[in-house]
Amino acid sequence: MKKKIVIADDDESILESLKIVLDKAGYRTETMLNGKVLLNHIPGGSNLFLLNIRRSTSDGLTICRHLKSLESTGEIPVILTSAVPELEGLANEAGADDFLVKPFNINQLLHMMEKHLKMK
Amino acid sequence: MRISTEIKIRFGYAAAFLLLLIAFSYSVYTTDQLLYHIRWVSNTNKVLHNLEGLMLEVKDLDATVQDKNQESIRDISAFYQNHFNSIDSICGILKLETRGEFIATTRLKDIDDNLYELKHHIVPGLSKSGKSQKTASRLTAEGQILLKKIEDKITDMHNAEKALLALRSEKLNNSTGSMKWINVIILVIALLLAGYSWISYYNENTAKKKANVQISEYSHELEKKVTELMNANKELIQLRGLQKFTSTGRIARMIAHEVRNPLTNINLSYDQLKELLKRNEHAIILLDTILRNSNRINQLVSELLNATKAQELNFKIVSINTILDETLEIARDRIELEHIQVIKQYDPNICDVNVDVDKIKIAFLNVVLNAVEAMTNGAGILTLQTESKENKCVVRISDNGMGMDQDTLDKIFDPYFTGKSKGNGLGLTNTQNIILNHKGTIEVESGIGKGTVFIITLDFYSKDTFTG
Repeated sequence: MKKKIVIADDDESILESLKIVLDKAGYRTETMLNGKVLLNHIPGGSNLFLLNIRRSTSDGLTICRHLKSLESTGEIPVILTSAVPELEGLANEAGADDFLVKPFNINQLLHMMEKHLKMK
Repeated sequence: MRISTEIKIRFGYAAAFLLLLIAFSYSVYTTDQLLYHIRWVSNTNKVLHNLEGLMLEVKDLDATVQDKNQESIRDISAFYQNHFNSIDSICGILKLETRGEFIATTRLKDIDDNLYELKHHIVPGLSKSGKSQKTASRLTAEGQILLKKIEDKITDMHNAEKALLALRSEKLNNSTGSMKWINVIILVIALLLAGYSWISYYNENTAKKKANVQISEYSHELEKKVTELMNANKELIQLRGLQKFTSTGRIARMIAHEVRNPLTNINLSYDQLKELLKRNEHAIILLDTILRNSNRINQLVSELLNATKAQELNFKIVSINTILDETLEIARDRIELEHIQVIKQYDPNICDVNVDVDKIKIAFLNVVLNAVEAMTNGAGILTLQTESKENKCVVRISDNGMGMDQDTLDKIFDPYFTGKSKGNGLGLTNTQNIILNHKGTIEVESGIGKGTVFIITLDFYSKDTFTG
């Protein structure tokens, strides 16, 4: 069965691009422009969260912390993506499994996702 | 109405002077009076003395008349002659001395008349004819009457002169008393004046001293204020630089973020399209151009971000002189190529600094390279100076190059501002970033044709301020 990837990013074109890329790579994707939805509702059967951290807010970090705090989702890998330079520190702080600094290419992303999905 | 102290002082001096002048004039007048009275008292004394002498002569004559009446007329006549000569002489003196005194003159005249009578009509043997043959006893009786008259007159005169003497003595005493009082007044005024002068001088001197102290205090205060103002101004310039730097950093971060998101899209799309169009050669060439430029954009953004972001520093305690030497070593090729003379003016006893050595070297290197490029080949002099000033480590890197105008100076640390054809315009931005990350300061002084000086200030290493 295809693994389900939940993607949250406020940039619509990124969502579209990632959806195309990941669908083609053999994943199921669920995309959302507003990651805050995850605070109330977590889609069933999620295998990996790909969350964006915005420059001016800490949505991604809040959501990451929330997911990691729940028993049902605590074990699901979370990858943070962002253009902010100090992403590494933020990702560690929020308890994310990994991070990817923008701009990245497909291979970097696929490689990282594969690594974390295999570990589960 | 208030009168100023100066006017009071002037008024006081004028009054004292006037009083002294009056006292002095009166003193001159009194002295004159004194001398006048002394002269008159002395004159009266002389008159009295002469009158006494005359009295004696007359009494002597009287006694002679009584004693010598038995002797020969001739002898008596010679004897009289002597007395009369003395009496005449005294009378002459008395006439001179009593000149101007009406009563005395009249009395003297009477005496004179009586004497004349005594000489020419009563006393025998004095007549030049020698015919007078009156008896001695008769002569004596008449002579005695006349002599008695003369004696009475002399006694009157004597009494009158005595009264005059008493009067003149009193006047003399009065004058002496006045003189004494004037002297006392003069002395008192002089003492008052001296006291007043001393007080004025003391007050003035005290006021002057106080004013001097105040002037000195004001001057000191002013100097302090000027220094404070200068320091504040310097701080303001530094703060403005820091503010500019902070806002540049914020803009850089914003741009980086905003640019990198679309770049991610471009990259993801590139990957997809490359897969789809892998058989179309032209399309691949064009897609690669897109990727190359996307990477270039990301590189530019990263450079800007690195030149302005807060850095993680790897602190190490080291001598600033060593860092400068190592920087010069890195730039040696460029310095030799341009035939630049390097002058080191290091303070050999300067304290160590606690810095990220690699980053500080980059900071200094950018400044050194900037200086090298500003100087003419073969004529350049690069001076590196270190000194300890106000508990800070001060590094001065100066060149004798073309210098810069104020407009250029204002923008020297701005990103992408460059005068070099090959420069990326981030060198000095990076230098500023490194120095500010070390909590140091960086300033530039320059003028067209005057060369440029970069002044970098860092804190000395101290256990209290640095914990690594």
